[in-house]
Amino acid sequence: MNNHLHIHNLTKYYVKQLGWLKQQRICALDAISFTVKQGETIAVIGETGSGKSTLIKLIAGIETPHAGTITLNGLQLKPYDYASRCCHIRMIFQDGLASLDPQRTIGQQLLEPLWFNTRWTVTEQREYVLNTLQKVGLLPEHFDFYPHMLASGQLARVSIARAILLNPQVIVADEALGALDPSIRAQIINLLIDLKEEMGVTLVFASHSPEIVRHLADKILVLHHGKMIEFDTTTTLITNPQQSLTRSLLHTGNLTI
Amino acid sequence: MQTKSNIFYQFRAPSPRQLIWRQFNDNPIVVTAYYVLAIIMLAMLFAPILAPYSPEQQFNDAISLPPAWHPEGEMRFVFGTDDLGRDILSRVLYGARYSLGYPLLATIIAAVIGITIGAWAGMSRGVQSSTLTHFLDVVLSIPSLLLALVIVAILGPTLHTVMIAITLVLIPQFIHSVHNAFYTERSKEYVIASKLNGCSRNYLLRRVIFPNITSVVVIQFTYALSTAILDIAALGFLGLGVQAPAPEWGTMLARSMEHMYLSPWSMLLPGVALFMTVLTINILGDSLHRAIQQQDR
Repeated sequence: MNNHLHIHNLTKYYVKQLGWLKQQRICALDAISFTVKQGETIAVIGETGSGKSTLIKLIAGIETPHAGTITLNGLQLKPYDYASRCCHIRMIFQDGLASLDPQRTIGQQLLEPLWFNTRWTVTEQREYVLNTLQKVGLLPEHFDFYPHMLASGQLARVSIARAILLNPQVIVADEALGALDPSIRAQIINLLIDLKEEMGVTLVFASHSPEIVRHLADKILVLHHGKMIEFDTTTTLITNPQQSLTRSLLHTGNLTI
Repeated sequence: MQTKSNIFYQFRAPSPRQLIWRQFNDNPIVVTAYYVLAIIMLAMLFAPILAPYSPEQQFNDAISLPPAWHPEGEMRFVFGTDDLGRDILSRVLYGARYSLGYPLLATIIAAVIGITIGAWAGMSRGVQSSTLTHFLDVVLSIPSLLLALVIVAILGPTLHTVMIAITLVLIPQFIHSVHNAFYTERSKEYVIASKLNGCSRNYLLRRVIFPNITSVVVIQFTYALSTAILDIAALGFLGLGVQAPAPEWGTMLARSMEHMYLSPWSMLLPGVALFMTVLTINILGDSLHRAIQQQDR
């Protein structure tokens, strides 16, 4: 039971077509393996193009790996099997507005995962969505709102609501907090911490900001050119980093812990 | 007291569709075009009730009679009669079926087939997608009128052959525009989010992506409809489409050419009807497209 989310030898290439038959393989992730315990928060850091987003997308199921496996509680997750994956692993999207359909109300979109993954009646589903909206700090009225009517912070809350709807075991986030302004970011971070404590989910997130990483993460995974160069607890990596890259990524400001 | 406390203000946000309708209603020209087209449609549907005479009834006492406002005109034939003594108004009203009804039918059939194949191609990838997109492209390379001429030359000039030709020509355009729209929409984040929700393919196609590409479908539909109307009229004008006794507007125009100096009024009404129909359809399509685009911003 200890190896809750186990990632083994995960590899992903992007193929770039150079003319007719010539192809260039760009390695985005190179044989990553690590294990996450239940309820832990993992931060994935690295430079731009180091494969952070690819790792998050692979865990969420948006992309499919070329090699390697993702195992959750001993159960291997198959690519393209969205129906079973979405009950366990959910994603918080970075851009709230782009990740919501402009033609449908927030409520209709939040009902969607319940409609496809539960056998509840319509009133039960609606009730549950309203409760979830309240849980993430929105009003029941927002059920009938269209995405363009909400502010960026509210959209981030909707994204979180969508991620926690099906009571997943793992939530992944790709720069979910990057686009928000500082005060709202603080609110959303506190919301995430509250929800994490309440639901006991595992959170895997990619971030640029060393402050957020130090504040949220239990463990940090450092990527460099698709390779995992360090994976240890936050305190170890901050006090005693083995690589110079880790130090520079985590100590951009002159803050001390 | 009880009833008073039950009154509360409920705010209901207008749906995107309602917003489009509001914007649509703001422009007086568009509203005019809408009503003109509605009148033409109603005239088409209720031609047997509205038309004073049968389109083929000939009056031997009233050959080439000018319109009613002319000193020699008669009130019986408001827009005059043609060289065989047939009432022009009745013929134009009945002719709307050939000149608007049949193009509408051809466009709807082409749209259903084209959107189905286009959506299928847009949702698949690789060879399957390419095959579906391009298998009717040969048709696209031939101008619609020319293809109609070829088919008419083989099968003979009847309404059915013209209909087949026009439908066939319109399909690949629908396939291409819908496929391209699907392709760009498919990689957007909200579609990925819906996919991660575990939605079925069918739901993704109809409820998530399709409402977001209506602007493309609308512009393509109106473009196809005006093309179809003009093509049927042109073939009628050339004598290759709908055959003579049928009151098709293009055929009527062609016939009136012979007597242009003697009875110019026989050209007036079919020409105006054709012009108004195509103009209103283009105005409506264009403004609907613009309203939807405004919404998407």
